[in-house]
Amino acid sequence: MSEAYKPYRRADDLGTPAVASERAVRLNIDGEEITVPEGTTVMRAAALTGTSVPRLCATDSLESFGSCRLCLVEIEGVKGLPASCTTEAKDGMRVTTQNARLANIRRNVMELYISDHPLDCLTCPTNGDCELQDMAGAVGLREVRYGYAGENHLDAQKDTSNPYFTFDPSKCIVCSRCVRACEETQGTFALTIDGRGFASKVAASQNQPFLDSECVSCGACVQVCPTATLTENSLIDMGQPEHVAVTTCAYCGVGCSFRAEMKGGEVVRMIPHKDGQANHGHSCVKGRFAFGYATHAERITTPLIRESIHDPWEQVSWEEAIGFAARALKGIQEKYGRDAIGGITSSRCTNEETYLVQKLVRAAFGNNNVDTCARVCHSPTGYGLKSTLGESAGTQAFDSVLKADVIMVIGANPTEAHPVFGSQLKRRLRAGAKLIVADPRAIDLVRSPHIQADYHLQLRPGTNVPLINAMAHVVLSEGLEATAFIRERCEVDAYEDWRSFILEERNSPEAMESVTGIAADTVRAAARLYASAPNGAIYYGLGVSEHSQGSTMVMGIANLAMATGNLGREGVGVNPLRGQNNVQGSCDMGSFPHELPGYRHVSDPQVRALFEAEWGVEILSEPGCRIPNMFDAAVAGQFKGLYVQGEDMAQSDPDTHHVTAALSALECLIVQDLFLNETAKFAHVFLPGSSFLEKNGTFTNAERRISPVRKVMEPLAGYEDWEVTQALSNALGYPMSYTHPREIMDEIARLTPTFKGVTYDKLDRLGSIQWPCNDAAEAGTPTMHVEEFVRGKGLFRLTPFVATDERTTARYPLLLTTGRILSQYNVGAQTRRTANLTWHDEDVLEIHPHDAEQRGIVMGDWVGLKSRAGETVLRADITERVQPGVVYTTFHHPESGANVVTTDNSDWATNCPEYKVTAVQAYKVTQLSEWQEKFERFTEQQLDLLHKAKAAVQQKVG
Amino acid sequence: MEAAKLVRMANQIAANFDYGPDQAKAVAGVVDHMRRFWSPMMLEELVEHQAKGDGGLTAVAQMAVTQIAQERRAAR
Repeated sequence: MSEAYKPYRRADDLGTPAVASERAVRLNIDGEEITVPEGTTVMRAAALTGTSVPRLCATDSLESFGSCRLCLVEIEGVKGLPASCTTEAKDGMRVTTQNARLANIRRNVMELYISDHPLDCLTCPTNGDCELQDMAGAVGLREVRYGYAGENHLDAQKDTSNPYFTFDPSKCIVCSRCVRACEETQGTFALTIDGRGFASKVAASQNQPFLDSECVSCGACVQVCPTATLTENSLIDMGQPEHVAVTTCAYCGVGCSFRAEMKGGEVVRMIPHKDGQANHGHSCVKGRFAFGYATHAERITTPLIRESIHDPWEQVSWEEAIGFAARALKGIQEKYGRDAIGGITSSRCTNEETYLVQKLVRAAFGNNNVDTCARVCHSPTGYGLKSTLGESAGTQAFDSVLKADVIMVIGANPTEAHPVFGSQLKRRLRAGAKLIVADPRAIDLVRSPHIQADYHLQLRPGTNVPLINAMAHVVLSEGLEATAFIRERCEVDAYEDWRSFILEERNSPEAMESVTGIAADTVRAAARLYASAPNGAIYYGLGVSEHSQGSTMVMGIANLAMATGNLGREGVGVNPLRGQNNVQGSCDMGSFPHELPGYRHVSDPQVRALFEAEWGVEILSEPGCRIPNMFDAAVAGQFKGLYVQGEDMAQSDPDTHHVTAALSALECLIVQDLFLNETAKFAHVFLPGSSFLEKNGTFTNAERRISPVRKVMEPLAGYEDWEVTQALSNALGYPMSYTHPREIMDEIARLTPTFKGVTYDKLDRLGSIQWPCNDAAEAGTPTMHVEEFVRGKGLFRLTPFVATDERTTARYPLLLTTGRILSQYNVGAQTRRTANLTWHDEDVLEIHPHDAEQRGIVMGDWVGLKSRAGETVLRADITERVQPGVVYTTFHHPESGANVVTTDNSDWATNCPEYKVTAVQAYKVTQLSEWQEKFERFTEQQLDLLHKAKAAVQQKVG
Repeated sequence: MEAAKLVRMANQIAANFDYGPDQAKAVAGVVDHMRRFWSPMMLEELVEHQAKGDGGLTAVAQMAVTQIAQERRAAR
């Protein structure tokens, strides 16, 4: 992996975006011939020959603009001096990029710019990395004949409202790159150029400070700014980086590729990598700016142990902690049996690390009690897509959306939860694709700058399956199905069964109208739109899977895609938006009680034999416990020990009362994490973990894209997470002796057909690889099911509607659903320890004005939220985003207690919790709930026990 | 593990397979599902619960559990 550590150099910029074309043109630039795709600009063609034409307003992530007038060139036969950035290369063109006339003009242009620019280069934050400096040098500027006494903008005030970057308008050259980045790259349109001529200036929203504007702090403007006008605060503080390593973000399932720009072992800034195939040089506020948690003071860096959760923690050596944990686990197995312990792998840790945890459970614990967070989010995707298409993964790459004609987003909020993909989606919508949104809430995607959904199917929570069945009913009853595709690619008997089922009157939009709350006409129109599109693509999220019929809905989506022939090429597909940075990976790595790596069932003797030969142990042939089963068994006294890596069930799993009861019943809970999270408050052993900056490995994103994670600093606690698992395994008597994660990946590749061709060398060479990667697909597989489905023929599965048990009653007349916000990430363990708190420092309850009025609730009031599971208190946010009868909240802060209220209802096939439907009552209160008060006291207690440990060590040392 | 919870889970699975006239197919679906995804501990507890005569299982679920009980007895 050493190839990717390059000394610092600003990323190459070819001036204008790449263009794809069937046709090529051949032109001559300064005597050199070059062939480029038709549509490429002269500037880019010159750059490809190695000639950099001077420029300021052009950059290759944005369409050309032609405002700075620096890039003028001479073209034989063309009058005047065209700008090379806006001039398309034509066959036979002869271009001169440099001569005395051009040099003179460029110097004059620079002279104008510098006449109104601060001359504090030596103390300016972009000294050494400033395109204005570069251009002044490139054109040979020697004097500014205007002098500096005239009117200028040097007194313009800085805007430091945003915690991550500074806007210094005195340095602005009004190149409009920031405005264009906010439009084209991000799609938020928060910036504009206010005024004309000399009065032109960059304005955020209505001339407001950035923080008060519509800016979402993605940093695209900061990245493209050629001067010091928009600069990262970390750069201002630390100075220019000196080396770079390319790595992958540890937040969401987009898996943005980043250049970690370093000074020694300190990160100066994270810049999205232009060659990242998932993000193409863009990112969101979290990946770019919110990495400070890795060095936060609350990081725990020494192992801790204690006998009981009411005892103070004791700081001990690694050897002692591992020994203590191993003895406890072995003791439990001796006393209660082999199946009394288990492990939970992390969807935030690397593939290599999760592989080792499931190997630890199977080889060292000797059972199949291993599970991962996918249980609570996309396990229905695994079940549903495996069953219908044959593979537990999305079918396309993100770029596929650029070829879609109709896009249907169901139960997902991409502009908040998968922001970089959301921006790409908006790009395609602005270019003319149509949009259908199915969501109980009016998410941003329904209506935002230059975007309006053609249909917003605002269904009642819990009615996904009737909706998708009704849409399929329209397709079949109106003859819109793709008959040839179905006959050729799908099992005909199953199709015929499904066809008769769907065409039943009870599945019609008319019959389902009162169930879903959506007018039959609207459903018909939306279904027709999707079915008649040349390319129809479906994107979905947890609003599909976190339901009692989550698996059924996934199958319903796959059925609809198969019925309309929307699979097997670009621009279509079934796209689950996986949440975590490596949840796809942890699933791929067999972190399931019933599956070995590669989604192969433990009952298959051939698969078991393969692993048994490599691992030298016998593997159980029957499934183990899922996380909810582990909790039930813990409460029943049968399950006593748990090794948890990077997962916080006490905050993220539903029915908090039940989870904490289960955790309290364990005799040995081992938590391996960065911080003392909610689950760690119930632990007996705390093993400090390592962040993504502190280790080597790979993450797999929602596109099945395996990307490298590269170590840029030493682990604060001394070990990478995989080394800790290895140590525990050795202490338990199952030897592991890997010296580098590449060896773990080699083992994975040996044992898993879909990973057969994956090596670290290939990752270095290609940048990233989408699995399957094997002999048939040496460089990976962007689009799946092209010739045939992974299971051969696609299988239509019946999807009858079974209403959830969770019904509204007189006592609980409202339905609560949950979701996420852009600035915070899931349980907030990372983002709450960064300046992202600026945007969202508490979870609030969205409630419709009618419901609020009935209850005497006004904006900002404390509202009690009660369900049959429990009660909590949140502040009210009165809004029409939710419909009457539905309330909504996020779950980023543990003290919100959102999960105290969610129930133990779950998906029939996978036990994925039904977070999205809880019957509740809301009422005005004057104080926090009993649970919240207990939680506060318990938290205080546990923090106190932690401080005692630190004090004890200081005493010994001091 | 609380038997009541296992009964609920079994009934839920059964409800999702029991939609047509072909009851045998529904039972087969439930049996296959529980065999593939339930741990032996869970299966045994549910079988025991049924053997004790404690109620709660719907018709299809009953038949599925009976079949599983037979299979497990034969395997021993």
